Amino acid sequence: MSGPSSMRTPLERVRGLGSAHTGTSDFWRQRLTAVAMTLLIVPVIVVVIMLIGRNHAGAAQILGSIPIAIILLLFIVASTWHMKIGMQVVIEDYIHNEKLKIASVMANNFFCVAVALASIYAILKLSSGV
Amino acid sequence: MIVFGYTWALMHHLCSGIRHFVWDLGYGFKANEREALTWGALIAGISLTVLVWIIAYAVGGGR
Amino acid sequence: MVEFALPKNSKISGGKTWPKPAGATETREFRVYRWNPDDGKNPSVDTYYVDTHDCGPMVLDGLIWIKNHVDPTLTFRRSCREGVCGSCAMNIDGQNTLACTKSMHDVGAGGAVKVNPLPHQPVVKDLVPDLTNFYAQYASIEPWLKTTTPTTAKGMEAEPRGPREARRSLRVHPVRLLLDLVPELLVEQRTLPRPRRLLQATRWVTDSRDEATGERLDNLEDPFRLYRCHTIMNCAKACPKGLNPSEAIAELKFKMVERQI
Repeated sequence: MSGPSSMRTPLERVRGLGSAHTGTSDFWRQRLTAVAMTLLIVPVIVVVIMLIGRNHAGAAQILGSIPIAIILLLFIVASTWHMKIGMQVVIEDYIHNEKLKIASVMANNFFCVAVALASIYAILKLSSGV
Repeated sequence: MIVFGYTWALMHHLCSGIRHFVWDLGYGFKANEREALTWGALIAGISLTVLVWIIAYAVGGGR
Repeated sequence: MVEFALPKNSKISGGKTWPKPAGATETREFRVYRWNPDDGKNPSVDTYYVDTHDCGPMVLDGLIWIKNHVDPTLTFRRSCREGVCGSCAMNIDGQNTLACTKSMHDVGAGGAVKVNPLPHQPVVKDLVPDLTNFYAQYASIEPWLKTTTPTTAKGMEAEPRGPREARRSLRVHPVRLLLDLVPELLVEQRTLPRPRRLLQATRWVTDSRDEATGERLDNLEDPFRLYRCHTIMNCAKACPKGLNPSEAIAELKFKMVERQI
């Protein structure tokens, strides 16, 4: 850190590349999705319990109902978004190699979008009765 | 068993999240309040998990 | 990546056990981290026995007794010996605290008193950490009043503050030891957010006389500055002055939202 090899002053090292002037939007969205899920968790649990022990046709019938499909879609959007931000924070905390970190953040984005789209597609497919 | 653990993970996350809401709004920072909130989140998480599973068995058991 | 192990040249090996003081009826064992930059050896932990009847009750008293009676080469910082200056901040029994206000009878449950330098900072010698980065971080928050309006002859009056804000505005040096409490952040050598720095930043952001509030917030808004705090509260737990940087940080985060939403 402050080894003799560095020619930079300590203040220059602390200031580094300067402030990114971002972070508040992620902080806000993390809270926004958290509140959304806190409200949605009860209906989602009810839906999951309703599904217990049903066969595919019965499950499809429940998931095909419009209010239930909308609740689940909202929950999917909120949870995958929340997951994306949360995992990014973990990556930023623990991966310090800059290139590996960028790759991880990118993979995290891909993964979360893929999970979200797959889930949304499944719900839409069931509710449109295809 | 795995699903039970997952339920607990979710419920604990939910309760801890509510604890963090309290802090974000600027309350509960005293030492005793911090401890109480943390223990509360742990216990509430476990209780909610057990509750959800009891309801699940009561409702789903018949099918 | 995260480093779980110490680098090779920082591994602790061996250590000397110094003889018990002659004629002492009651002794307390101290295990103290030693490292000498000049002998090229790895750090070690030396064992000392302090004559508790000849020595004050605090850990710092024990260290001073060792230096005076056993081993004059033992190196540590101390000044006020009453919990104000923060010079003797060190890690005692796993907790970052002040040696001058920590009683040796409250630690180690009667066993050895384990004394280490503050973690996550380069060691200069024995228990003395290099505080260069600490002072640079303090300087980076620009801890002085910034105004555009010229000051009148009367000076500037501050709005009355509640006791909480007043406590925060104190220039408290012991908070120095708080900066070690987020270890995963401190492994990497880049812009490091530290509780103390953010606490001090809040003091200036909330100062009613300061005219650079927005500029200060701009400077803090960064995923690796303000938002690297996840409200773990280790800082509040360890602060010997009962300050709570987490609370100050929550206030900063609230202000960030306030100016955007």
